[in-house]
Amino acid sequence: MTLSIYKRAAVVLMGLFLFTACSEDFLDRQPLDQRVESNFYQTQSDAEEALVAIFDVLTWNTVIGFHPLPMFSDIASDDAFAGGASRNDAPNIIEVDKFNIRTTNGEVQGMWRKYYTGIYRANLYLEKIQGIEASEDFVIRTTAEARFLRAYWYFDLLRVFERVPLLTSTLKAPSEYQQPQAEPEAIYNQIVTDLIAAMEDLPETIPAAENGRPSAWAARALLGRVHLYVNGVYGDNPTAQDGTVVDAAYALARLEEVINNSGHDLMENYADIFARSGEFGVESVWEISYSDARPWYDWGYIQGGEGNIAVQMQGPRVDNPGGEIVDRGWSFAPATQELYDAFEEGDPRRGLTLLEMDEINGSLTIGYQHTGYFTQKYTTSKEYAPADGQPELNWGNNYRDIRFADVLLMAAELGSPNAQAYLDRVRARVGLASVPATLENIMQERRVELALEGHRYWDLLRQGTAAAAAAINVNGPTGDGYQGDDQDFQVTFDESRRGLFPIPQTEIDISNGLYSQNPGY
Amino acid sequence: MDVRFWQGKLSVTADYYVKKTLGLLVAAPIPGIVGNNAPTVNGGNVQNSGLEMAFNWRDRVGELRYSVGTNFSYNQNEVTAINNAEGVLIGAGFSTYGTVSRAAVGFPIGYFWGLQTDGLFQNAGEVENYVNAEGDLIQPNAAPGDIRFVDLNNDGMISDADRTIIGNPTPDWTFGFNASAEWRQFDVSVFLQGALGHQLFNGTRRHDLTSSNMPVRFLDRWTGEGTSNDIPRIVASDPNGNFSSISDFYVEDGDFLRVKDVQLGYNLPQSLRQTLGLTQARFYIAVQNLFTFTDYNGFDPEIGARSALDIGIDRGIYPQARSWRFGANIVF
Repeated sequence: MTLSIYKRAAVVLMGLFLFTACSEDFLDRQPLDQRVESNFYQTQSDAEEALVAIFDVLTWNTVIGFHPLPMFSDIASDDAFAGGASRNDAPNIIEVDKFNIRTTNGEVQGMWRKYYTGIYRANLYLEKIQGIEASEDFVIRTTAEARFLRAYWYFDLLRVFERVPLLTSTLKAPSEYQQPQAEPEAIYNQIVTDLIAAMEDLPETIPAAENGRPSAWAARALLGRVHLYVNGVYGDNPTAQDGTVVDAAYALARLEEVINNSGHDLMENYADIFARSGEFGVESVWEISYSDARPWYDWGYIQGGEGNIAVQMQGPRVDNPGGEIVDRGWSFAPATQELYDAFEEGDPRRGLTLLEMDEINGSLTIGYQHTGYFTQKYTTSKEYAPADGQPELNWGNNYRDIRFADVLLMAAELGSPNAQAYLDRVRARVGLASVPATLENIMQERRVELALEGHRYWDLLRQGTAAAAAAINVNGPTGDGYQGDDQDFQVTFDESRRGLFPIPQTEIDISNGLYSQNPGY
Repeated sequence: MDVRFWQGKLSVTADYYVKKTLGLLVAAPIPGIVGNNAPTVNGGNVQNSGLEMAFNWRDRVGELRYSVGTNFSYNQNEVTAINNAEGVLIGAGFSTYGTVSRAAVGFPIGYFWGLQTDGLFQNAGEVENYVNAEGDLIQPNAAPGDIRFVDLNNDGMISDADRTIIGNPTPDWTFGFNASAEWRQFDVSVFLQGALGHQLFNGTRRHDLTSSNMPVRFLDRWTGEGTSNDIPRIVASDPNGNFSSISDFYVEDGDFLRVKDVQLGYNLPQSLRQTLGLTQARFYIAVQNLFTFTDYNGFDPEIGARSALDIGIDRGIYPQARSWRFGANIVF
């Protein structure tokens, strides 16, 4: 024993002193080397980063598997089949084509996760922006952008799944995780509430350096699209929180504002719309930006890059890209003979929409559900060939979501006094003579003008499930170019499911039975 | 317990342990509506109990010095609590076929959860006779050559409710053996290791693609009555879900014994070293992973774990290479 009793007592006392010095500040530390939610949202530049994180989700098409919604909706429609290399290349996508989607379909769950990630980020932004040191203009504009994006994603959720939990704030603790499904009415009312608020605060012009951010016109055009879908499917008009009823007259007035005041117009040449030079052109009212400017290589986390995977998926599987106008794609979403036939003779849009076998010089690996037609719009065309990175993951083709032609046709459909002139404008651009602006003619024009851009399926559903079934059902090959078994080309729309996708089984399991599955599944 | 006998020639170490892990850290699944990654939470409690023993013998016989040793451990793993209402943690999956592993009270952690199989239907009669109480076919999409799944809960159909434990990825026994000897200028050492009593999930093949290669053993698949009772027929569409169902078709015993390291060395004699002005000079030849004894059909039975709920699922890991080394240790 070399330590005296005093020394030992001193050690014990020092220990006690250290214990009492453990204040809460000491135990509850902020990491010095990382940014976390509690120390992040401080400055305008922090807010800009958070804003980019919301927009980023727009380009996520590979959360689980490969699930770009515009391509999925065309595959579900009468304009395209699933395709791919073989019957077993992407069974989950074939299920979408054949309306036998399993509730465990990974792609469907991927979409669910995508949308709720976007909505979470928008909600978090809206909660944090008030506490951030930033200019008032910045706060107003970016708040409107977050609400626009939230509405945009809820609209996809409504169309794909219908009854989904409606969250306008983040879930902060596991005790809040059990959220019931909302009725469609609550969801579409929230969508128009957000869009009207966004419309009032979004800028009217977007400088080139800010391309990809929504304008007030994009919000107006989307209101028109939401009205048409809700009115068609539910026979109802969405009502915003402030009592504004988004009925036909209201939607038409907003669309007319886009037509008359926005500065948007039809591009002179239909072919230019989907050219690289046509990105963010005068016709684009709302366009989602993809890019090859940040080369990406990681197959394990594709959405970390900025490429448009739908382009890679829809390109033809050419064997020797060197001699072709396209690079080697994966031959998904082959277009149908019915779409080919929907174009009237002499309509140049047929050739500009469909890539046909005679445009392929060398050999082509024939994939599943081969029809002889591929999309010409979002394809692996050489002018978009990624400059760097893993080629498949870096296609920069922007998705032109709302085009001015769509706005003209929506206004015509809603009974604008200028309906005939609007329809004529769309047709005159491609050298076609006037036809009467009847509902039937307008819907036909929508099909061919907007073909393979992801709108046809929703246009069918809003005409009723019987009309959708009549258009979609097919009982075997219908074109000379089809290759495969008869059963490969058999599609039966299940009216009991009303065109909806199943609520992902995993989500139902985790909800402990709180969610109910969509009818028919 | 540590004991030594005969002036330390034999040493024996034995430990018995019961290790209780409270608040196991796992990323438990959360609803998609949260919109963020699953946080790491205290998912449950796990108990490992077992015995570890080691024997070492070293001795000298004339100019020969040698030692031999072995160690082995026996371990039993059991989940004792799960901190959620379901009492289950969903673990890792395979391909797009869904969950393979899970944790539940009373079971080993990360156990394989799937359908039991009962051979293959050898003829149409066997398919037609596999019926439930109402006389309906239990596997309506099956054809001869397809897997017969066990309707464990007797509800007359094959569903997730029939899934049960089909494998445990944690070995009962792990062991090693080493021996070394020196004689005059030569030295030699050998190290072996292995594991027994666990299963692996052989997910090394892309059954979802029709054009992918299969191992040679698939040549012995079912091609007619009596040709095989374990490898099903191969058709493009897999209507019976032979491959897309998580079942014990994928599960194999993971027992192995591996000759991990063998080394043979030669030291230059002192006279020669002095002539050359060297303090030490040793030349050796060594080989790692010389040979593996196993019945496992994948590339390498040492799969390891990616997380507590992703153990022993072989998605085609790159096998450990056999490497030969030749070298010299020279000290001036």
